[in-house]
Amino acid sequence: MNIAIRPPRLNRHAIPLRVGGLSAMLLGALVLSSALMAIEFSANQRRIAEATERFHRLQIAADAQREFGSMRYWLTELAVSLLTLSERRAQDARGRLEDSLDELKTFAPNAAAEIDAAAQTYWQTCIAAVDAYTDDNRVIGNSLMAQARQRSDGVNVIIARLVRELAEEADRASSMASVASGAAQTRSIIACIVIVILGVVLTVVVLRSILSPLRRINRAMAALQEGRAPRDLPPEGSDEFGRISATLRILHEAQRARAALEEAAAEQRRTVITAIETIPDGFALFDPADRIVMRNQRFLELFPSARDLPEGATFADFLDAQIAAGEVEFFDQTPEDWREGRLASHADPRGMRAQVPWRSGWLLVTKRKTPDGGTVAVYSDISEMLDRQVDLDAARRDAEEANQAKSRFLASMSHELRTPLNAIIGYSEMLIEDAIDSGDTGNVLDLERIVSAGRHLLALINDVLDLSKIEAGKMEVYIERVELAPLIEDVRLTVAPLVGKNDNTLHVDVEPGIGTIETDRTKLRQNLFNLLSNASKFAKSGRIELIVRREAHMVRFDVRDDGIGMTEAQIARLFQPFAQAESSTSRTYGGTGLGLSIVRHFADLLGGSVSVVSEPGKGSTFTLRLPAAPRAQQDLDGAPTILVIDDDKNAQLSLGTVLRRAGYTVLTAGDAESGLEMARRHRPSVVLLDIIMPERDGWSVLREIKEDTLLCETPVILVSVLSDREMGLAFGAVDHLVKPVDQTRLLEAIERLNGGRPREVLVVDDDPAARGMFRRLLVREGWEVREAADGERALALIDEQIPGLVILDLMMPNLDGFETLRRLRASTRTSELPVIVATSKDLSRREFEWLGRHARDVVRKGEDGRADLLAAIERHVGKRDGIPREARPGD
Amino acid sequence: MKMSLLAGSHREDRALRAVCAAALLAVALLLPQVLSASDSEDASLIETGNRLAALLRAGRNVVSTNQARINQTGVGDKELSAVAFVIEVMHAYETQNGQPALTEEMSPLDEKLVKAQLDSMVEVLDDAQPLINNPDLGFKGFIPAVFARLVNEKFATKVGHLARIKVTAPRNLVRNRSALPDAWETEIINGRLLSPDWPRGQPWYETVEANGRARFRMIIPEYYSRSCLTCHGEPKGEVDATGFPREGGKLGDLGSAISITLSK
Repeated sequence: MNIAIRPPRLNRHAIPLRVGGLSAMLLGALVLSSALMAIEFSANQRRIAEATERFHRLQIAADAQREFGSMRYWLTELAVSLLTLSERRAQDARGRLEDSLDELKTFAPNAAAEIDAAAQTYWQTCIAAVDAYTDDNRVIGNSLMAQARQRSDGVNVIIARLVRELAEEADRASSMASVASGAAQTRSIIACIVIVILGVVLTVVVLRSILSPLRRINRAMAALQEGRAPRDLPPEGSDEFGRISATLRILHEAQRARAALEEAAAEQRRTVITAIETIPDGFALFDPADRIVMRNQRFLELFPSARDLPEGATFADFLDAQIAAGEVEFFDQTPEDWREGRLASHADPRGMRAQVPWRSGWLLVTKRKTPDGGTVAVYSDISEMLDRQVDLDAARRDAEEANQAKSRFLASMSHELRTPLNAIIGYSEMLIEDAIDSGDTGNVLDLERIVSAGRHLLALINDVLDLSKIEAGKMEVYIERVELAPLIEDVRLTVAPLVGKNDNTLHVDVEPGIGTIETDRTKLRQNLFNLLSNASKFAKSGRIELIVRREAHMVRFDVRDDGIGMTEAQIARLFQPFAQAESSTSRTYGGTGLGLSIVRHFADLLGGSVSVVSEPGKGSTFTLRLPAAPRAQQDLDGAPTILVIDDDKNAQLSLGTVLRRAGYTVLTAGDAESGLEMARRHRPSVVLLDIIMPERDGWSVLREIKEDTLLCETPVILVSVLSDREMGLAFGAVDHLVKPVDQTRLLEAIERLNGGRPREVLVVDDDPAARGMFRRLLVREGWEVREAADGERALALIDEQIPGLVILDLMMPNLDGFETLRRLRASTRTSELPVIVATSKDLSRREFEWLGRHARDVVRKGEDGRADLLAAIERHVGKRDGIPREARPGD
Repeated sequence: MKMSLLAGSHREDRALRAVCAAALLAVALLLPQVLSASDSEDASLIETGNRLAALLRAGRNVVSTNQARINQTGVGDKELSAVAFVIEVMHAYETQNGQPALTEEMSPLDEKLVKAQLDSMVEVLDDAQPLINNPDLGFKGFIPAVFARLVNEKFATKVGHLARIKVTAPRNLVRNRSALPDAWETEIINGRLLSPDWPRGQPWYETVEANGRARFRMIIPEYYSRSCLTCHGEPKGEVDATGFPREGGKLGDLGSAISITLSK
C-alpha cells in the first residue's frame, strides 16, 4: 500500500490546509527573516549614522580649515589691493569660520576656542597691517603682515591637527560600520539559504502529499475511461481525495449499473426482436417519416418484394415495390388509385383495420399509430380462419337443421298423438256421463281408468311439446307483475289432489307481506306444480313443505320432502331430459322424467336457477330462485336511451343532435372504458359504437358487450369510417353505418330497434270473436286498431296506410296468413313491417322456420294467448327480423 | 612750466562730465547763499574747492570720453600723450565752466593748487603711457576713478598740507579702501547728503578743528548718471568690466562725493 509513503499527519488534512500550512510556514519564515534583516539594518544604520556623524565633524573641521584659509587669502589680497571687496570677502570668510567654529564647539570645544582666539588675533593683526598700508605706512604694514603670517601658521597647525584626529575617528567609525555590515550581510545570506532549503523541503513534502493521490486518481480515471475498475484509489474519507475516491467509486458503480442496464436493454431488445420474429403475423414498424424501421421475417415472406428495399425505404417505396413485383390485386382500381388509397389509409391518424385480398386469400391489415407518430403494422393471413369460419357456419347450420328436424318431429308427433287422445278422453268422459245418466255404472270405473290413462298420456305429450318448444327456441316468456300469495294458494289447491294421493301433507310457508314478483306467471306456476308433484311422487305418507322467502333481489321457493332422497350421481343426471334418478324410478313412480328438465329450462328463461340438496333416505330440497323483477330493458315511461361511444367530439355532437331531435335520450362516452361503464349503469336501448378509438377500439368494446350476460341483449350499431360491414355483423352488431352517417338511415335503424312505428295495429282474423278479443286487448294497451277478415282485405288496408303492427291469423279463407305474409315481404314497402302471427295451428318445423324468417313472432291462441301476444308485441315490435331473441346467434 | 598731460578713460570721462555738470549747476545755484552765510575768506575757499573739484571732474571726463581709444587693441600709440590730455582737459574745463582753468585773476594759492593738479594729471598720464599704448591688452582699467585717485595721490604729495582732494562715497559704495570716508565725511554723508530732504547737489562746508589746526572742509555730492550705472548699476552683485560686483545703484542715487580739505 502506498499509504506508508505519505506523511501521515498531512494526509489527514485537506489540500487547502496543506497548501495554506505551507504558505503560512513560508510566510512565517519570510516575516522572521525580514524582522532579522530589519534589526540588522537598523543596527547598521546606527553605525553608518555614527560614521556619518564622524565624517560630518570632519567636514566641519575641514570647513573651518577652508574658511580660515579663505579668510587668510582675502586678508592677504586686501593687504595688496586694499579693495573693500576683498575686505568684505575676508569678513564673509571670517563669519563662516565662526559658524564652523560654533559647530565645532559642540564636539571639540577646546580646539574651537583655541582656533577662535588664534584667528581673532590673526584678523586683528592683518587689519592693522591693512590700515597701515591704506595710510601708506608700508613698513608698519609689512611688519604687521609678517606677524600675521606667523599667527596664521599657528592657526593652521591647530586646525590641521584637529582635522587629522577627526579623520582618523571617521575612518575608524566607517570601517567598524563596514565590518558590522559585512557580518549582517553574511547572516542574512545564511538565513536566506536556510529559508530556501526549508521552503523547498516543505514544498516537496506538501506537493508529494497532493500529487501522489492525484496521480492515483488520474490512473483511476484513465481506468474508468477505459471501462476498467479503478484500482489503487486513495482511501475514501472526508478530505478532497477521499471525496474524489468516493465519487469515482460511485461513478464506476454507475458505469457498471449502466452497462448492466444497457445489457438488459439489449437483451430486452433481442427479446422483442425474437418475439416479433416469432409472431406468426407479418410485422413492420414505420417511423414518423414513414420509413421502415423494423420488419420481421414473416413480413418478408408475405411481401417478398420488400426484401430488396434499401435501408430507410418508406412505405411509399414499399408500395412501389409491391406494384413492381405484381404482388397486388388492384381489382377495378388503377395502380395509382390503389397506391393513393393505401397511402391515405396508412396516414390515417386513427389507424386502420381492414381485410384485404392477398394472393388467393385474405390478409387482415391492422395499423396503429405510436405515440411518436410512427406506425405499427400487423399483417395477418386470415385466409385459413375465414375458411374455417365458413366450415363452422356450415356445421352449425347442419346441426341446427338436425335439431329443428327433431323438434318438428316431436311437435308433429305430439300433435298427431294429442288429437286422437283428446277424442279418447272426450269420448270416455261422454260415455261416463252417459253411463251415470243411464245408471249403467258397471263400466264407469273402466272408463275412468281410460280417462286417467289418457290424461296421463296427455300430460306426457304436453311435457314433450314444451321441451321440444324449448329446444326449438320457441318458448315465449311473458313478464307481468304477479301477487305471490294468491299464486301460491292457487298452486296449493291445484296440487292438493296429487299430494293427497300418497297420504302426504302439504305445508305452505309464505313470508308475510311477500308482495309481488315480475315474472312469467304460467311458467312459475308450472315450475312449482312440477316440483310439488315431483315431491308428492317420491314421498309416502310424508310431509311436503313449500317455503317462499324474499332473498335480496330474488324470490326463493323451497320444496322439501322427506322421501327417498338421491345420491350425488343421481343428482348429476337429475335435470337432463328423459332422465329420472333411476331408470327404474319411472316404473315405480311413473312420470316421463321431463318435469325437472322443464323446470330448469323455465328457471333459466326467467333469469333464475334451480338447485337440489339431497341425500339418499333423507329426502330432498329443491330450491327455485327467480329475480323479483326482470332486468331493466329500457325506461318505458321515458324516451329510449341511446349511448354513443365515439372518441370524435364532432361525431358525438352531430349524432347526439340528430337523436335528441328525434326524441331520444342521448348518452355519450369518449372512450371504450367509460362507454362500457355507462352501458352497464344505464342499460341503454341501443349503443352506437365507433370502431377506431385510441387505447381500446370498437371491436374490443363490441366483444365485451357480447360477452357480458347483461349487456349482450343490448343491440349495437357500428358507426365507423370503416366499411367492414360483414365483420361487424359477424361480431354481433345488428347494423353498420358508414360515416358520414345518413340521418335517415340512422333514425330508421334505431326506430326498427325501438318500435318507433305508429301505434296502429291491423288485426287480421276471420273469427270476429278473436278480432274483438284482440281489439279490446290492444286498445287497452294504447293501440289504434283496424281489422280485416282475410288476407286480401288486409293487403288492401295496408296498401292504404302502413300500420305499425300486423297481427295475423294463419287459417283464413280466400288468402291465408302464409300467403299474406309472403306478399307483404315481397313488397319493398312492407318488407320490414312487423307482423306477429297468432294462431291455434300446431306448426310444422318448416312452417315455424318460415314464419321465423318472415314474422316477428308467432303466438298461440288459447288460454294464455292474450298474455303471450302482449309480451310479443312489447318485446318484438321494431325488431328487424323475426328471429326470436332466445335463438339469435351470438347470444 | 612743466605740465604733465594725462589722458582719461572714455567711460569715466562721461560719468565725470555728468557729475561735474551737476556740481556746477549746484554751485551756481547755491553760491549766493554760501556767500551770504560766510565771510569773504570762506567764499574764496569755496571758490578754490569748487575749481579743484571742477578740474578733477574735467580730467575724469576726458578719461571717460577716451575709454574706447585707451582700450583699443591692435594699435600701439593711442596718441593720448600727457600734453594732449591736459589740452583736452583745459578745453573741457573751459567749455564746462565758461572760463579757463588758469586765469590772471587767480590768487597765488589757487594758481599753485591748479597747477599742482594739472601737473599731477601729466604725471599720471606719463606713467600710464606704456599701459595705454599696449596693443595686446583690451580693457586696461584706466578708468576715471583710478585716474582721479592717482591724480589726487600725486596732488597730495605736491601740495602737502595746503590742500587735499579725495573722492569718497558712502562706505558701502567704496571700492578701494583708500577712498573710505573718514569720520567727518561719514558723518556728513550719512547725516546730510543721504538725507531724503537734502537739496540735490548742494555741497556742505565747514571749518573743522584737527590736531589743533582749523581746516576748511567741503564735500560736494555726486549722483549716478546713466554712464555711472554701467559699472555701478543693476543687477546688483553682477561683476562689471573691472571684475567688481555692481552696487545696484539707480539713476540719480548718491554715488560719490568729492571731499576737499583746505588749510585756513
